[in-house]
Amino acid sequence: MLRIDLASRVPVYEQIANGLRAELVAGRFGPGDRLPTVRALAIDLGVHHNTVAQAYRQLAEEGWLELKRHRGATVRERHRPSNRPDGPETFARPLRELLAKALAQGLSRQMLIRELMDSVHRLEGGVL
Amino acid sequence: MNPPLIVRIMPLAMGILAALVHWFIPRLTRPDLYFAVTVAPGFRDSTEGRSILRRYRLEVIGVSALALPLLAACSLTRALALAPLLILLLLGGCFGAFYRARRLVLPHAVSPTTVREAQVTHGNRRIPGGWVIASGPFVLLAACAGYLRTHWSRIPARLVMHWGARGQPDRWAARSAGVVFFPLLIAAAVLLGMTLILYGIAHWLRPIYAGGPQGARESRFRRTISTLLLAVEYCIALLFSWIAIRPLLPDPYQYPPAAIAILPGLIAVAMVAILMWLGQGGSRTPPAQRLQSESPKPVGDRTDDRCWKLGVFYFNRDDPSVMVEKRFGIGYTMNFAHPLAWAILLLLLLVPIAITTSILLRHAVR
Repeated sequence: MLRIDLASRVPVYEQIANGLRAELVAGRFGPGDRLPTVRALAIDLGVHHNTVAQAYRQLAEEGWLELKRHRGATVRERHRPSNRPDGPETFARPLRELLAKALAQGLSRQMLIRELMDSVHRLEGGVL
Repeated sequence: MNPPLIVRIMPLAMGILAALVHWFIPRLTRPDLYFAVTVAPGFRDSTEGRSILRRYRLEVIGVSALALPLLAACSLTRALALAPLLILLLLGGCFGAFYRARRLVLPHAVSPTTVREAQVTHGNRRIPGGWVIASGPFVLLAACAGYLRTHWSRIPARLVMHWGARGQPDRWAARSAGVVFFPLLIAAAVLLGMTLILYGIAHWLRPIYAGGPQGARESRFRRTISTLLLAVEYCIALLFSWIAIRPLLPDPYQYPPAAIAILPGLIAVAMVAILMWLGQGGSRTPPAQRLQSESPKPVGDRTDDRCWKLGVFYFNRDDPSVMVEKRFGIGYTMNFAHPLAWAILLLLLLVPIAITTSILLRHAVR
């Protein structure tokens, strides 16, 4: 299930790309599977076609999707990239910010660690 | 000469049905929509909500008490021509009651949730039975046209164009391709409009809920309404095929205009009854309490109240959907900011436009 929030500060196309990426990482789609057409997903989410197209383009650039005119988006075979040197820093900052927000809202350290580990296990149970 | 009783009571039956539907509609919409306004799910059961409903229903009773006896009088006298006017008066009065109720609800409006959901699946949108079933009515019309073409010499030189209230022919026209194929062309245009709606329900409609029990209920409602629409398409194809090949049929099968008057009425009553039973917001929508626990804000139909002109016409340029769920009433309506919506409307209005134009032209020639 893909979920977006129009009131969020994160751009809608990015929310769509993030949601789809999570599904792809979790292995809900295999190589060769087709995603909904841009038009169908735009209607379901009530957003402009260009917003969905932008999200699909982003995922195509990351190597997840193959976009073909009139055929929609097909999931590609994708190998896990090697650990990038700038990888930790790219993700550490947003992760720190998110953790700070959660702690500020009163969530316990144990709960956060459990949630984080659960999420990683769920995602690694997929294709990666 | 008075028309048969069944024809005379039809406007009265339609009036009673319209009044009944307007009585029940406020309770048949989703709990977080009240008179086409997004409200907190518990609002309709509040003192204010009940008072607005009571006032609306009193107005519906008032306008029905005025129009229905007049419709009954029309049925018993020779003033049957006034019946459409009285039905319009009844519908206009009911709409006025709705509009006043909506204005009373508007100060209690809340913003709908900004969360949107979608199922990430390909190819889950299909017309029931697929294109084979959907093309059946067109195949029937084409077969009928072929039959007429191959039996052209057997078609009488003069064709009946109109029947009186008692079923006697009172207007004729000379045989020509335009006259012979006219019913089939009209039926094809209407069926095209209806097929576009059918396609639209499958492909151009945004569901309110993408999954869960609410999503399953919505999808069941969508399938049922599509199946009913298909059934109506087959009825129209059969009716117009019969009208087209009627000159070639033996005497007993050449009649009955009374059936023509009754059939659309019966179909309309059956559709309304089935859709009310399914419930736009009854069986299909969870109770207010459950909705409240699932979402901090009302889910509604996730569209802005400002996009609903007069509460019934949806106009939203930012929405790619051609069709959306009605806020007041049963079924779906169109996004009039989309050009396709106007094309569908034009095709559906083609029959009354064509009939009116042909009558006006005939009078102009005379």
